[in-house]
Amino acid sequence: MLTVREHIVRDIRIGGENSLRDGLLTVAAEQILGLATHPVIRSLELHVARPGENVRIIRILDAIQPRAKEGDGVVFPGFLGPARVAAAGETHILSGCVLLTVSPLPRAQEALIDMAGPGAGICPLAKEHLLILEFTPVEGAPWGEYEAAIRLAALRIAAHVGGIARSAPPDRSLRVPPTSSAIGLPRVGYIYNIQAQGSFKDTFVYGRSARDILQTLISAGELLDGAVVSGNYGHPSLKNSTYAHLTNPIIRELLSRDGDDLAFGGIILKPEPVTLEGKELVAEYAANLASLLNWQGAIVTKEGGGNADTDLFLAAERCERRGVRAVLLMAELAGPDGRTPPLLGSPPEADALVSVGNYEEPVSVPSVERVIGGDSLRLADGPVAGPLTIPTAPIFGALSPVGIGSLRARAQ
Amino acid sequence: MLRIVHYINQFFAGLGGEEKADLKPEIRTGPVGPGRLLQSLLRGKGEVVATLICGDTYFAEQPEEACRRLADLLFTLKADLILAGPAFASGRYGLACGEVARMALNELAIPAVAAMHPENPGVQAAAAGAYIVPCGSSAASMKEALPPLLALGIKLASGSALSPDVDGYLPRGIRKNVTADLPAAVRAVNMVLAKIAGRPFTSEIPLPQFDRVSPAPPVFDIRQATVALVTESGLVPAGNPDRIESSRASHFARYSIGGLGAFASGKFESVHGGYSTDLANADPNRLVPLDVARRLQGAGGIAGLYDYYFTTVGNGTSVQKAQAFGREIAAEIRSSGVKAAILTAT
Repeated sequence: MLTVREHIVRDIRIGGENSLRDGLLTVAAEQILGLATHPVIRSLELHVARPGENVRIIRILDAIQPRAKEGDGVVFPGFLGPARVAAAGETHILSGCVLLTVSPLPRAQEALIDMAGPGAGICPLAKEHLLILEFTPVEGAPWGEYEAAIRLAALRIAAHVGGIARSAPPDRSLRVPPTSSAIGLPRVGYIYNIQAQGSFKDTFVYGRSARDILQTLISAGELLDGAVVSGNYGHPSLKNSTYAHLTNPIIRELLSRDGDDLAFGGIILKPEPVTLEGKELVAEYAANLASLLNWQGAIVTKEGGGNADTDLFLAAERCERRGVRAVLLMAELAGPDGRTPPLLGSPPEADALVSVGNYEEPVSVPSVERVIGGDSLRLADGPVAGPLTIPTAPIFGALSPVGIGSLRARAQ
Repeated sequence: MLRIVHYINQFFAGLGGEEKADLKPEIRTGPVGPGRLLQSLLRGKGEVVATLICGDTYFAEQPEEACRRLADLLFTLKADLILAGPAFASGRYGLACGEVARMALNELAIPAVAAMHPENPGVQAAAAGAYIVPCGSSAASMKEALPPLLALGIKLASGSALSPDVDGYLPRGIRKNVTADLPAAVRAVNMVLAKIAGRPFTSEIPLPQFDRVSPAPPVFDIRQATVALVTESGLVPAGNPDRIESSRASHFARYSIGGLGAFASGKFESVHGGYSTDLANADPNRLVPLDVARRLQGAGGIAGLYDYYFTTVGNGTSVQKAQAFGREIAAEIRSSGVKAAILTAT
C-alpha cells in the first residue's frame, strides 16, 4: 500500500533557501544548478512562469511533477536508484507545480505553452506553476548523450524539489492499494499504450527503454513513484509526458471509483511496436492478459500520431473478440476546418470512442511580453513573441491521449 | 431587440403558385404569411423587420444571381438573424432556403437558419455549413415547424455554442474543439460501464465511412510500361529545397531522377518526423526503390521510369490534403503516359 501525501503549490520563488510554507514553494537556485553538472551540459538557466502571466514557452521537451519518498526509498527507480519496485511507504507529491525541461534538440517537434490567453485555455500545463529548466548543450555534444544527461538532471531536480515537501504538512492524503478488493462490481482495467521506438521517441520503464518489451502489468503506485518516464519528443500534444504518466487521469478515475461502481482490474503497460506483426502480437497479448485477469471492460489509450491509432484499434478488436468491452480515447484528424473524416479507419469493434479534440484545428494566440526557450520558431514564420495562428497540435498536452487536457471535438 | 429577416417563396407570400414562380427577389417591410406567426411567437424577444420573397423557378434557374440580389436587399437591413422557410418537402423552395441560409452565414456572416423536411434535396446545404432544422413534409405542420426554427435562430444569434445532438439541427459535417463538460477519463469510464451493462452509449467520434478506392485495371504489359515512383516517406534532396514539413505536410514536391541510377546517401535525405531516419538516410533507396527499379529497367522488366519522383510526408497529414496531393500527382503522370506507379509508405 502506497500513501500519497499531496502538497498544493500556489506560487514558486527562486531564492536562497528551500521551503514550502502555505503553498509558497521557495527553491535555492545553487543546489538545483549543482544537480545538472555534466560534461555535455553547458548551462542551466531557471525561470518561473505562473498561470495568467503574459509569457510563452517554446522548445519544451518534457514536464515532470516533483515528488520524493519519505524515508529511504527513491522516486524514478532505475534512474535515481536501483530499479526496485516500491509502491509502498509514503510519497510526497507537489501538485500545482511542474518542472519543464526546455532545450534545443534535433527531431524534437516544436512545442508551445502560452500561460495566458486562448492558448492557455486549452493547455493543461498553463494551469500549473512552472519551474522551467532551460538547458544548453556544449558545442558538438553528441545529441543522444546530451538528451540522456538533461533527462537525468531533470529527474534529479524533480526529486530534490519534491523533497522540500517532506517537512511540510500535506494538504491531502490518498491511499493507493496495489490491487482492488472490490467484489460484485464490473471489473474494468486499463490498457496503457506507450510509444517506444528508440532514441528521442522512447519511454522508459524502471530506467530501461520499453522498445523491445512485451507488455506487462504495473500498479498505480509504481507509476506514482515514477517507474515510467518519457523520452519522447514527437507530437507535443499527443505524447505522454512524464507529467502525464505521473498524474494519469484514467488511473485516478479508476482508483477513485474502485469499490463504488467498478472494480479496478489493473494496468497493462503496452508498447507500440513499429511493425504490423509486432502490433498484432501485443494486441493479442494484451487482450489475453485482460481476459486472464477477468476484465469485463478496458479503457485503452495511445501515444503518438496515426501509427498508434492502429494499436488502439487492434487492441479493441482483440479485446472485444474475447468479450472484454473496450473504450478508446482518440484525438481526431478532422482537418483545419473540421470537415475531414476524423478517423483513419477502424474495425467494427472500435465502436466506443472518447474524443480528446481535433489535432488540426487552428488556434490564434496574441503576442506575448516574454518568451522562454529560444528566439525563433520553426512552426510559423514571424517573430517568436508575435501573434500566431497554429494548429492545436504543438500546444503541449492539449490533446493528451490519457486525458490531461480539457478539449473534445463535437459536431457543430 | 433581435432584428429578424424572413425568407419565403412566392406561394407563402400569397402572390401565386407556379404562374408566379419566376418572381425576382423583392422585399416587404414586416412579416408576411408565416412570418406573422413567427412574429407572434417572438413575444417581444425580437421583430420580423422585413420579408424577402423570391420565386422558386427564378431561384432554381439562377441561384447565384438570386443570392446576389438578396444580399443587396439585405445590405441596409442590419439583420441579426435570417430565417428561411419552412420549405417542408418542396424541392425547389428547399434548395432556395438552404442556399439562402448558407449564403447569409458563410458570405455575409449573418446567423441564418432554414427549416425543411429531412428528405428535401435542399438539405445538401447543411454539408456546406448551413443550419437546417428538420420539419414535417407539408404546410399542415406549420405550427410545429416554426418554434424549433425560431429557437435555433435565437440561440445561434446569441453566439452560444451549438451541437446537432443537443440543438436538433441536421449534421453539418463540421467538427470543432470545445471544452468538455466532464474530463475524458470520467466519460471513458462511464462509457465502458454502459457498454458492459448493455446500456445505450454514444461514441463521441462518428465511425468513418471511407471512399473505397477501386483498383485500376491491371497493366496490360508491364514490360512496355513507364513507371512512376511516388512516396510519403519524406525523401527529398539534401537541404529540403521545397521545405516539406516533417509533420502535417502542406504540399508535395517532385524531383528529377533522370540519369540517376540510385539515390546516393548524403545527396538525398528524409525529413519525415514520424520515424527514425538514420537507416533511411544511410540508404535512401529503401524509401524509394530507385536502385531496384533501374536494375529492372536494365533487364527489360519495365520500359522505363518517369523522369521525376513525387514525395511528401505522410505524418499527421489530413485525408483532405492527401486526396488533393493524389489528384495532382495522378493528373501529371497520367497525362505523361505513365502506366503504373509504385507507392512506398513508411
